[in-house]
Amino acid sequence: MEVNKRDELPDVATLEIVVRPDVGVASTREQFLQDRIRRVVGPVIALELHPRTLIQIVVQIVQSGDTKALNTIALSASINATYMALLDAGVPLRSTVSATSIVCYATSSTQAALTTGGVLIDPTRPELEKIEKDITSVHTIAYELKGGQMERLLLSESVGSFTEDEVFECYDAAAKVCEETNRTMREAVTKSVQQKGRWRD
Amino acid sequence: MSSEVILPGDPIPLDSVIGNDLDDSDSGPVIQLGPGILHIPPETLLPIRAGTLTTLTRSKPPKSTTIYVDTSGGRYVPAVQDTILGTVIGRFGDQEKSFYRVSIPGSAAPIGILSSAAFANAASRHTRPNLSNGTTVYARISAFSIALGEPELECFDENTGKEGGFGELKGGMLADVSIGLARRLLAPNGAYGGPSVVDALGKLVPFEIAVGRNGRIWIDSESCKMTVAIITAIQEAEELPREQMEERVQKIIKGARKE
Repeated sequence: MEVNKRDELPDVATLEIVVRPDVGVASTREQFLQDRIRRVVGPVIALELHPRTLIQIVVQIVQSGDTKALNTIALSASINATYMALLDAGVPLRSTVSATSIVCYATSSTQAALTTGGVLIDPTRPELEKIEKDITSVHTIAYELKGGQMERLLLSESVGSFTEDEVFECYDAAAKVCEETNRTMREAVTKSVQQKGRWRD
Repeated sequence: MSSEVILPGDPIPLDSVIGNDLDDSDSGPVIQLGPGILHIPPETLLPIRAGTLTTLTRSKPPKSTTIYVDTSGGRYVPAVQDTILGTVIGRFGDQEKSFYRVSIPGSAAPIGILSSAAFANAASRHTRPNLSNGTTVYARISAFSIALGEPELECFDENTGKEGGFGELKGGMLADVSIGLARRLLAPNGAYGGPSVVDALGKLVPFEIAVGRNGRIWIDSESCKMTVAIITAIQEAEELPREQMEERVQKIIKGARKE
């Protein structure tokens, strides 16, 4: 797209990310999401191939899976959705990206999570509401993958109290989930490409 | 021609593409890179789009292979010698030397510049066409660099200097198609195997078509109703295999005749 003269960059494309909330007007929460999405997809887009242009991504949240205090599901879902949109639009990308949310909670509120508590990966809203009071920490993790193999960590956003070991456990768990998400994504893309190529038969 | 679905960042199975006869002699295999594959020197090849990895074996130069990622969607990126369909949206310059600003919908570089001298028979300013805003033009991209932005357009056949179908398109109707379909419609007959949707339509009804690489087509025929039917047929038949395509085309055209 044509870029606003003020935002034009001479050697790379300008990346604009807009997050629109499901209800109400955009606030600091949306600003936060925009910033995190940019940090994840920014390094993956080959921006230098389209200098002086604008890549505009608008993320409209239809239904936020997060409870009021949290900001993780909207983020991981936005990252996955943004990446799929970029892929569909044919924007030059260096690799694939998957994100996931991990919520740790204590079964009894005095004990630490993971050891005695439970872990929810990509929980739904009812699941979250059930354990809302016992949540000890929340992690949003995004990985870059090449050829289905984990390449590097792009985002690690953690809130709450947790130990170093717990975080590393979360990384490992997230890596598995991301690889799985990546496989699903690959299947979806393959299906879509085959659907579009049916005329060759 | 072999093909498999590939995602950005996937390793390219070069061995299977060029066979195992990789040697360093002068007659070693030559690989040409097409769209969708980025070469990072010295020797990294990175797919940057999702699509079908396609390889074509060519005879010239000997033992050469072209690899590219084939996609049907996405945004059009201008390239020199592409023909596009645009709309005149403005004019600047003086009487002697004036230029049209042409909007190229669906393009990564959305505005092109068309000189009023870049038409057939434009030697004298009295014979130059006078295009008003909103006119549809069929033009060829004569110069473009992604770093400079605006593509330069021309409205004549560069081999003959004559009109060659370029210039203002009167009447008819514009429609959007995917850039993959536009590419297919413009390909030489049989490049994608067998007759295309245009051949199927041509047997049934006379019409005029102009295809822009930017994913736009212009159709004119005997009546408005028929024009709309032809556009519907082309759009609907995009993803259908050949037999179904012919069936659907016949049904749509017959339906338009009956009403």
